[in-house]
Amino acid sequence: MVEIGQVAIVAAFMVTAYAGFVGFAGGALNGRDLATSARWGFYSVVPLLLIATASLIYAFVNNDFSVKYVAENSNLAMPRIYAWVAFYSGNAGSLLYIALAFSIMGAISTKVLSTRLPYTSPYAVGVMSIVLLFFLGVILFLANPLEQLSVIPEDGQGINPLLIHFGMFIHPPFQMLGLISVAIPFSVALGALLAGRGGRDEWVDQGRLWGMVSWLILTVGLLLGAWWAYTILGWGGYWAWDPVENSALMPWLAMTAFVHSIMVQKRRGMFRMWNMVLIITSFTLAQLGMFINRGGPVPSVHSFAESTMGWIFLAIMGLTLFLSVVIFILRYETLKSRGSLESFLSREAAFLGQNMLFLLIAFVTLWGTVFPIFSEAVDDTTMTIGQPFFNKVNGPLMLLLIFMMGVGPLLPWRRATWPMILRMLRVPLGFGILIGVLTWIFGVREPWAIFSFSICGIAVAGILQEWARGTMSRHSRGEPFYQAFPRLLAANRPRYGGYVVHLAIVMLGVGIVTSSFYDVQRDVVMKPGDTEKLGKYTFTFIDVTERTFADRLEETARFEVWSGGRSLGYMYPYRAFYPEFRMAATGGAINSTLLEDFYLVPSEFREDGQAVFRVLVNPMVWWIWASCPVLVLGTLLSLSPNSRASRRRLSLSNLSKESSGTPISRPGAGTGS
Amino acid sequence: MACSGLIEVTDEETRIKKLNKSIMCPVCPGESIDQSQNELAGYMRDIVREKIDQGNSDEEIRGYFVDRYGPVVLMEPPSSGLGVLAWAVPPVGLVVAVIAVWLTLYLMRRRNLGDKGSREDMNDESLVPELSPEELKRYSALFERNVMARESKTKTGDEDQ
Repeated sequence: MVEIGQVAIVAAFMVTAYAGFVGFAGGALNGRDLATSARWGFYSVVPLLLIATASLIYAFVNNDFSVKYVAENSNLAMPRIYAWVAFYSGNAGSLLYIALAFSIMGAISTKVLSTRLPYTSPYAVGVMSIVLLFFLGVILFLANPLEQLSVIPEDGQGINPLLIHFGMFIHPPFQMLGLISVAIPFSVALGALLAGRGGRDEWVDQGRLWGMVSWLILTVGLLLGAWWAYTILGWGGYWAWDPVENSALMPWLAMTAFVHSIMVQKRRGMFRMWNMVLIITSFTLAQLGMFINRGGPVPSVHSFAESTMGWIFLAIMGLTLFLSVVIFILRYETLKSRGSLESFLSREAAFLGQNMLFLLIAFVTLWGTVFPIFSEAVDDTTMTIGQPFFNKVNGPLMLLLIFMMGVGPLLPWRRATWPMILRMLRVPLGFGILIGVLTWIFGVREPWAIFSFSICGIAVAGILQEWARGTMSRHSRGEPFYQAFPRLLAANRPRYGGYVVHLAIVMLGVGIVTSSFYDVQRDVVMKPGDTEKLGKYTFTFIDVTERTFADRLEETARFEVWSGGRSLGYMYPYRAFYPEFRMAATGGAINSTLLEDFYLVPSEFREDGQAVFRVLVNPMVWWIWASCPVLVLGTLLSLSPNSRASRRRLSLSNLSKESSGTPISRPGAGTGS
Repeated sequence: MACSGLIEVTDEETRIKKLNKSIMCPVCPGESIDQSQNELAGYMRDIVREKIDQGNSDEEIRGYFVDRYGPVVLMEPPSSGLGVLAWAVPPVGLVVAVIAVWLTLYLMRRRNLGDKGSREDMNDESLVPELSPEELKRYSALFERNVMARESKTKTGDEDQ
């Protein structure tokens, strides 16, 4: 089996090289046959990599320790189901996973592109092939997961115990797929640029589609990572501004800017260069993320796939950036705007401001992440840039972003007047102030917290106002409310889907703000039978059960917990010790409600029967996790095709083209909201 | 920052928490002693509490740890020496971003004003084809029916993004 996999990887490498070469040739010579051949070349990489992956997983399942990677990342004691996790738990395997996932996603996008963008797609396939070729090259020459050992060990070294968690079945695959999937909108954009059609806007729909798919995967990956940290790492938090977390956040920020600003090109034919800059930046940051995760220079709690090959990723990142900039400069002339800015007070201007803010946050995050290296090189002093720095610097910027999220969509395209803006903002601003006053009345005294809630209030009220306005106007034309609202949402899906995502972001924001300002934490020493109190919670430590497994020793504490006078039943926080790794993994027990989480986690079990527990009350954390499905639904709504409306838009644009230039068409032009 | 409905926290505890969050656990990079459950972090938390009881200021307590472990032990860079640079770059970045946005918008708009000449020509009455009153009436009716209906939908947000 292993040999078949090895052959498959070599074959995949050669086919990908072929697809890349023929793709570019097909694009340059405008040859249909060449383009088709490149496409089929790319498709055929998928089964080859599936075979390679299957042979590796087969080796894991059958404890084939003659494979070096299997011996390093698995052992006899590992539950077989974790073969999937072990597959990408190390460096070489994660590269194979990335190559496989990217080839599948790339093949799907190739199929879609081939009919929609006949001129761009050969180049796009070429670019995707080059990206894939890099990964396959590294696998083949530097980190082959199917490499065999001459001496076969009796047992393997085992999987990192922190990865033994069901969150690990989905978080790393999502995160890695998210980072590499940025390459797809990047390939579409670069392909359009290479084809000299970057200014024709025909790539915009596909760029937006794949950009949003990639954005969605990145977002879910980040949220799953936070959830994993919260439930398994057992420190009661979900985000620590750790270098690896930052490196996943930065491409997300740039992609968020991209999926917004691409709408300006779609609607107004503007920001053509800017969109190119954004997608190139996103892909560069995604590569930086893979670099930092792979033995980068910054110490992190996450770099489980450590290796020295990070530097190759850095070199490739530099090369990609350089080539992209060269292509951008060569094709600069094709990227002139069609539309032009009419006023500083317009949605276009708001989009640009929002984009800059996203990039600024990404830049500041990057700055904080690399500053320790910088200070060490310059001054020989090692400094730490930790959570307080990022909270102080990025916190206000993110609040500003939520504020813009509230007011930006209320601005009309092209041009607004101050009276118009004041009319639109009256209700949201009033509501925001009301929320601020209410939170003060309810006892919140932290100025930043009050300010944050106000801003979230503005954002929610802005969205509700839009929904109410649309529904009312449909209602006034005779539709009953229960029909008017869903039809409103269905009528302009990119827009109303976007609003749903914005609501999810507010949920996320409220959860993050509340839990970071008002979390309460105590460390208590207890012996069985003791009862302690934290806030309204009373908890009794009943006993500890020890259980021995093949790979670990698990100590599970039993607590009986009451909230006020109401029993919450038993809670079972545990601590597992993995002797082979000299590592302990903790499992918190969480009682989650809409308002707050009661969180119990054992820090230490002492010989004398006493134990140290960390007890936390984290308010509103539930909302962070609940925002995820809302966000996914909103994104899917926003992506779902809207054929009826697009047909209508087409006929409308024809009509206005006929009448363009006459004064009579002017009144409509400025009022689109 | 007591908060009704939430748990009452004394000012001293708030201060301890803030201090703990600002000091890194030397053996677990990236984690504060507030967050870390390492034994050493526990000892360091005890020292913080002790020093507060002895009446030390926040700066003195932080200084105590910096003397032992170097500036790396602080979770955020100091506001002196090279640390100033870490703090200065984000606000400078904000200023640069604001200027960049303003400049871009200004340039985009000026180009638009440059184009405007031609647009105003188009709007010039003399360039609008002469219409007889009947034609104008028919055209207006057509316009009302076709465009206004859509524009009113547009305003309510059906159509426009």
